[in-house]
Amino acid sequence: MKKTWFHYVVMIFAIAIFMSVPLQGVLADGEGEGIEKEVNGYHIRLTFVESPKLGENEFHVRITDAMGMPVTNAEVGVIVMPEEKMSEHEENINSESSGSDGMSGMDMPTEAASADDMNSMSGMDMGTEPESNEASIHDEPQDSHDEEPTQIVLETGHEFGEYSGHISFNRTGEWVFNIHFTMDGQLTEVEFPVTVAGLDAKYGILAGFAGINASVMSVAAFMKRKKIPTKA
Amino acid sequence: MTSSLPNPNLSLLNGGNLLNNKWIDRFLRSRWYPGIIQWPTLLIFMVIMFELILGPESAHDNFGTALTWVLWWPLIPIIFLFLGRFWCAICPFAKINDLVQKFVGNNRPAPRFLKKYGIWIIDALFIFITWSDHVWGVVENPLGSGVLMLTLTTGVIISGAFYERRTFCRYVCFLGGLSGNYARNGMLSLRGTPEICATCTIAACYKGTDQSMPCPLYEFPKTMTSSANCVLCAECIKGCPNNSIQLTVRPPTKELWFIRKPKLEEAFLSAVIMGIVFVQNVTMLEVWGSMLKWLENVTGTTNYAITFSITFATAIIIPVALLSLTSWIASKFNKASLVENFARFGYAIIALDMAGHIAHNLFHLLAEGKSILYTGMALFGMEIHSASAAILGMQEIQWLQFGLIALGFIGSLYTAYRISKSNHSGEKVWGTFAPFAVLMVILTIMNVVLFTLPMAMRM
Repeated sequence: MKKTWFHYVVMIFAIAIFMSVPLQGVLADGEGEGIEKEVNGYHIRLTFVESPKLGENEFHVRITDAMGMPVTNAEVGVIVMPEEKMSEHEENINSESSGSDGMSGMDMPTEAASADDMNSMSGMDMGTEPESNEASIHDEPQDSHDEEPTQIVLETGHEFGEYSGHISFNRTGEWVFNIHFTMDGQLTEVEFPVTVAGLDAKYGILAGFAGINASVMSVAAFMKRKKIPTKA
Repeated sequence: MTSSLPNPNLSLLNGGNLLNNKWIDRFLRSRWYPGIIQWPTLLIFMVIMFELILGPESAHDNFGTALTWVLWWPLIPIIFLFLGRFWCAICPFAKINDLVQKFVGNNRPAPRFLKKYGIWIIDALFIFITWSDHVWGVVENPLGSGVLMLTLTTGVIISGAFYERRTFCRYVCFLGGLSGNYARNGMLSLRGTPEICATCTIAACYKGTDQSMPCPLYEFPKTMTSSANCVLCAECIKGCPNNSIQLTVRPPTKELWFIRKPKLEEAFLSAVIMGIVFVQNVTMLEVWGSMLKWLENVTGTTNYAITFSITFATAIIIPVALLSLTSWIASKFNKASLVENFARFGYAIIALDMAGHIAHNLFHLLAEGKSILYTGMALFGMEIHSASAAILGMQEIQWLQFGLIALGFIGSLYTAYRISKSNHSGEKVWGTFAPFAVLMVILTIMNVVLFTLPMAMRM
């Protein structure tokens, strides 16, 4: 009976550990750092130097073409806004477009629109916002309606195909990074979801492992009926 | 491969017992060894863990990533070549195992299924971890590396808490499997002296004494024929009342020439390692993007887990299939079965495995080595931008890589010949050797081609 119980405990811990490996992988990708997307043959990767947090954050955008070569000398801009604001924004665009041309229900290509199309999109005002590679989101956490999209023009990074910028988050939750750049007259636009964690997920991971390890050692100490000498 | 009574006149580099040197003997017998190296290693490991989990999320800026994947990972096969599994004696995971065991250890015998399927489990884990590195991100994601280390730590704690000795290191650790294979190729050999051990009835080396621990990896120097599971912890040297233990230098690959009981799973692992070297090279090539695009068009999916899994499986199957085919051809000459030839001659690939592994990682060490300094300085607020991380130029690195592959090829070729010679006689020697010589040429050409293509950085 004791042996069965012992095997049961060992099995539970083993399963918990092996289950935790893919879970951590998903967590690592879902926090907004190191997210990749392919659009129009371009491979775009958004990386945060540290996981997105309240306050100042540095991020990098790396762009490579279909051949894997870095895209240099592109003017890369980012529009940052809370996810709910983005949803409202998209609804506005949809309602305006359906009201003006009656093409409701059509799938408009949003990721490969031309530069002229983009400039005409209501609410974006890409050329009128002050250009800076550092921006701050000044919003009250409870009042997301006051939040306006923030536009950032990225600076060239220290690697080929890399562009860098700073963003200061004033609230936690889901944000959207709309990254856009123009190459050969064609505007490429892609959206990345970014989660600004309230409680640092890394401490959660550490605490999880610490909890498992402490439990294992507690069980072992409890089960240690008598000390078996390791030396003969 | 047994050793006779030590000849005090032999040169230390020519098979003489290194323990005849009083400095080496004193150091290994000292109660400070291996702790004096193990504790600092554990301290560095804790710094690495802190950096990986709580430091910068970009691998490019992370000191833990630089220390682990740019310094430690390239150095480890070189250590295996010169010092066998010495790393395992000072490994921080081993120290954690010992500490947990000391305080809460239940010291149960290793589970039977681990003893029976241990190497297959190691093979599977090695394949799984390499696959997960690419699909979920381990090397390029500091947090991913940290989680891998934490997972290993938990495994070690479970093992130390419930099982005796270093069960995890012997039967589960994926690096232990790799190092076991490489240590066979290594230049250090620890053995008992047969004439002395023949009269011994106490087996202090295996069981331990008041002054020494039992062999942590369940080895018995009296009957040991392989260095695969000797970590050079020196417990047997400290414990043997008859001074029977010899530590000698031998030519690389020598142990592989006389494997008495070749194991299919170990031969399989050596072929798998070759496949993993291929896949590591291929995915770091600048043409990888184009290859992936082609694969996406063929499979009709952009899911990286699927496209990479296809690449990964292909890369592993190629050397396994080539070794199987060669074993089948050789069986026409030597009348041994395919499985027998596979198990016997799989060991011959180890030299080329090791050369490919070192050559691949040499690129990271020499082309990105200064990143260790830069990321270390960043810890103290000294930022360095736009500086090259290279220690050597690409041309020089490539020549070193080709040199290593050439040495690996010679080692594998000669090992195949010696295995053939020690198992067959007359015309069968050359008839068996010839197909394996062709195999080594093919694997070498594949490696050379991969090393001629431009490679992407790790940091």
